[in-house]
Amino acid sequence: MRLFSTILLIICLANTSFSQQFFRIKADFSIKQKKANGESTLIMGKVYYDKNAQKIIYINTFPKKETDVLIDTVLYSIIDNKIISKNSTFFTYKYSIFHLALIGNLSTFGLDGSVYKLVKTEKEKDLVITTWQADGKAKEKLGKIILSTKNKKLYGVVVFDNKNKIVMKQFFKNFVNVNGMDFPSEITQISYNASGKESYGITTYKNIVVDDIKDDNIYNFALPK
Amino acid sequence: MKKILYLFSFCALVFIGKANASTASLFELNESEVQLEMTDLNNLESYVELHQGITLSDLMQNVNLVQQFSLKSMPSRPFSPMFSFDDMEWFGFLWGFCCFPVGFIIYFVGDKEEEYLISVIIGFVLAVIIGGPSYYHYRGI
Repeated sequence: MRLFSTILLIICLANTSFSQQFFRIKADFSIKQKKANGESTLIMGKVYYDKNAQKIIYINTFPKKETDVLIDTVLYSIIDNKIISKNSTFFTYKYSIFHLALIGNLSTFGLDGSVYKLVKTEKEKDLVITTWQADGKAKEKLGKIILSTKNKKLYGVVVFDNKNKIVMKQFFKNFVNVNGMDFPSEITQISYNASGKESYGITTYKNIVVDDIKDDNIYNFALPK
Repeated sequence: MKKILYLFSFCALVFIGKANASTASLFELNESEVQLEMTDLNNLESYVELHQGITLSDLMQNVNLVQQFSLKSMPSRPFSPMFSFDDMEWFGFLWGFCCFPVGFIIYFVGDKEEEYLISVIIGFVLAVIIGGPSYYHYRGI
């Protein structure tokens, strides 16, 4: 009986460790962008995300002290506890790097279970390359996406438009393991405008904390009325 | 015959090699080129890290720093709004403002981007806003 209990306990513990669910992440971030027209951007601050609250909170310290909160596809900008603007974006928390990393879907860039279907897998050198094509009606509007993984971690993403022209490339580098969760500490982005000119972007994350139990009021940020 | 077969095999190998290289080559990143583009911003980032709490408006007050980092105003948000002034397609805007049906026809026939359609609509709405009161004023209503 004792042996049976011990085995049962070991199985339960093993199961718990394999099905570990992450729910929160915070980090210091910096976003650097150099656009094709010469415009430069530097944004620095702290970012908070709780997958249950479904809000991404950016507390920016540079270029100015401002809090940006992304809820669904709406970005609220707040200064001195007042909403100063509310803009729709193409972006949503579901496809944010934070959400994908927490739910363990970063290696497929969240494409698994989306409108995209896997159409090709190939292996070359140390890269596993997968090609994803939009399905159904979305196929007319969306181009293919090619992903590559290195050591089972997402390495690169190449996004095409519906005319098979590259619009963006992203490279995920310097993965760090925090409490068992892998997260890239640097993302390089190259985007191409209509005339093919390149814009560059580097996003870095430092002091990454996973499943932080402090700062509840920030993770569940309440918009000022 | 053998020579032709060799030549054919050689061409096939070259073609296969090129086809394989093309997918993986998508993931080649010229790090030094990216870092070169980012030199100014890397220097600015290091300066801001050293001077915690400093903002762009603080830096703008120092002429030396403005020159050192080639400072200009910069966006403060991590995402761009869906449609900004920079996205405006002025040709579409003019068609929307002057004769919107032509603008719509060009959008559908000319396989234009969505920014073009938005520009036509903005032009049309602006024409209505400006033109409406003028029309009623002209008619004396």
